[in-house]
Amino acid sequence: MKNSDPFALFGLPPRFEIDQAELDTRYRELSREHHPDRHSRGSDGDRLASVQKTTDINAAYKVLRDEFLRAEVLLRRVGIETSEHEQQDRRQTVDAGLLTEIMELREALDEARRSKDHATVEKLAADVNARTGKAWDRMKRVFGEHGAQATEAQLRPLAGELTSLRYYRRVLEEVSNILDEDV
Amino acid sequence: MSGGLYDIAEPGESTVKEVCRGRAVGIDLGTTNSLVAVVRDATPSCITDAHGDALLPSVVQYRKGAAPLVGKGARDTAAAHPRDTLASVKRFMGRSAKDVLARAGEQRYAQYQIANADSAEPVVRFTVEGRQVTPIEVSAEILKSLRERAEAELGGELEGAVVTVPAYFDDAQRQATKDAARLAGIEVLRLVNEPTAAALAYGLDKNVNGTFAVYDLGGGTFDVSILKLTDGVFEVMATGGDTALGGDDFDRALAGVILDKAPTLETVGGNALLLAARTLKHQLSAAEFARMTLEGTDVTVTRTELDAVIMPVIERTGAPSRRALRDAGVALTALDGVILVGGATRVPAVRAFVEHTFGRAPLSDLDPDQVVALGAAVQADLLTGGSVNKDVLLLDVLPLSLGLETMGGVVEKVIHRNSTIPCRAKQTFTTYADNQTGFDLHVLQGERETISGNRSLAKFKLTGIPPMAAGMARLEVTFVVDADGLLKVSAREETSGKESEVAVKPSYGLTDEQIEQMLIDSYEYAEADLVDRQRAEARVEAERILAALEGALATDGALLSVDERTSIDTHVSALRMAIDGTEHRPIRMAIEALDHATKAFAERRMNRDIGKAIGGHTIDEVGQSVEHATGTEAHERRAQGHKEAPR
Repeated sequence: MKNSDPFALFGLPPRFEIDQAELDTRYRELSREHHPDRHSRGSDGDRLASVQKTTDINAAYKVLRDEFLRAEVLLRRVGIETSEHEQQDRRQTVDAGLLTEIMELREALDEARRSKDHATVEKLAADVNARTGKAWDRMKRVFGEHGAQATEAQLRPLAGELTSLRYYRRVLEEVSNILDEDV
Repeated sequence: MSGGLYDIAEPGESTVKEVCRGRAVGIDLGTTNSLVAVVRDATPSCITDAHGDALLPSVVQYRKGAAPLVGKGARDTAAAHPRDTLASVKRFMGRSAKDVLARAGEQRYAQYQIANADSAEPVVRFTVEGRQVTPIEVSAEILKSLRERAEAELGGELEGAVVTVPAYFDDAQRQATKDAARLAGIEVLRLVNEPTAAALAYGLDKNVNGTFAVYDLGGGTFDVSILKLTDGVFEVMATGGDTALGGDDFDRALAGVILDKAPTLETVGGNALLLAARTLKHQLSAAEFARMTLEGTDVTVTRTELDAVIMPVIERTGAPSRRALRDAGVALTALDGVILVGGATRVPAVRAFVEHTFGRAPLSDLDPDQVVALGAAVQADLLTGGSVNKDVLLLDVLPLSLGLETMGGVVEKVIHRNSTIPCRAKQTFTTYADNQTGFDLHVLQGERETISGNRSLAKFKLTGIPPMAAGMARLEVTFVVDADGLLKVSAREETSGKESEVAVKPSYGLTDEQIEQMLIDSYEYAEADLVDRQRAEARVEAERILAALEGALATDGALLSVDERTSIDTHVSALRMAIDGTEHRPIRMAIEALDHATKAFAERRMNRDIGKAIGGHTIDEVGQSVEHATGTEAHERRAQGHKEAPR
């Protein structure tokens, strides 16, 4: 999917905010048009094309439904690579402040886990959830302000936000692991 | 489908096949019974045999100097020809002799003579009446019999068939099913998951939108699926189940009750007792009590007694049902209906349980034995320019995750279960060792996190990569799953352009027990898996950091004071000790501690190197060790699937 634009494939404006119902409807329309079942009597070439097109549609649908992937694609449009894969390739270092923040969260979480301090685990989770909510709000605001004509400079701050959100997600996964193991 | 050079049509000549309406059928190739159905006058119906029976027992008897006997005749004379009569071969589809032998202890398979027990052949062969047959050939006999029945009824050659498979069937089992149809002279228009077919059968006459659960309790397997129906488009949202749970378990439980009441019946033997239990069970679906005489002994069983002994079995369908709902992200209140499939759903206690579990009375307008075949007929009709409802479209999913073996014996999922098919996914790997010229790829299917818990589908090797430093060669592996749920894997080394492709064929076997494990895994073993995986990953991470640090110390050790060096060495020893432990947390903590201890060292190296040259690889190394040392980086990498080379 790297070379094709999921927004374009779905005929949707490249915006972060998305109408889920409209997206679902569009997906069904596209599937109805291109699914191999609709081309089972076509020529070999037609059938092969329909399989490929449907594969693209399924992949694009997956991206558009997921806010992380959607944000990634919007940033990539202006030349900002935030996928974990590419970051890894370029050995980009993550902001030291974020690393400290995450490390402190993890230490507090580990401490609470060891002392079976459920209240603290849940307090930390609430804290991370709040940070997550604020970060998404900022993402939505910046994406919303600049719309489809956004420039690299305008969206650049969002790369860091997205990385933070990924780390928060990991911490929250860790929280649910801890809560699961103590049940 | 080949699309090869020789298929290119002359100009003006159409490559579209002649349309032959009404001769595309749906086939339910079942473990116990098989059926064939067709859509006529916009209505699907099962095609019956000369006696009016829709069910064809999935039993084949091989005879000397005669064609094999298929169906009721074979089943009813099985006792006289135990070795030449094969039943329930669906359980052996896509399996090797080794797999079948692993379950040979089971009495009901004891009579089968396995021909290739000592060979490593991927497909089991049974010796019958002086010849050897595979489960694929046996299934082909059943399919041939259904084909003949349909052709006699429809008056002409079949155009093709939609054949159903259990949702839990893996790639090898699907391939084997397709091969059997081909062997029977049937063109497979599409393989469709059984629960999906059932929903299709129900969705037609009801022009409704909504979310439905399909509860399929057969003789030996339980399947549950959640589907969404919107304006004629069927989307499978989640599937789940238990491959060792079904109506046969009811019979066994009821046989126990009979023995409790009449201990003398122990002498009649297991099979006669099970048959008696089944007869009583059938009667109890309509009556409050049932009576029969066995070996001169009167036995009476009430429905209350039946319900009491089968309740524990029925309750085992609850967890997979709730899990499928959760996977689909569907709340009970958002469910619009429950569809019943399988003969065992005739049992009133099952219906009551379904009603209780899903919060509504199940739909039961269609015969639960026929509903899958009826749905397959509908799909066949749709695929051949159908008459019934042109707006209906089926969007099916991959039932089991597909993945690759990576470092530390861990399985990296490339395509997750319940992804809508057809689909494609790519994963990039880099070399682990300097001058590594080959990659071994091991393709697996299943939900477990460790290799042993999954089904091995294929192993292949990409060789001839030019020698490069570790991490420089990049291998891009692509998984493509077609609309039948069948997998193709290709691999490409990006710097050299070297390519390799395999169509995954039935190669390794898996017993039903193993499949069962694979399906219930996420419940019972998820925790153990996670622990193994976390430990394996933490170890790999630690080894890498230690190696990088060792290199840095060798070249730049002079940047450190004696005290600093001692502190680093202490933390290195601590990490080495942690690696040998059984838990991942101490390893992670030792990694973090080592990071703190090396922070000043890393900064000093970086500052010096920035002075020297911007963008040199030394920065990368230092940056890398800082990243790794956070302990969160490994998670990042895992989620993206950017791994070191598989071993």
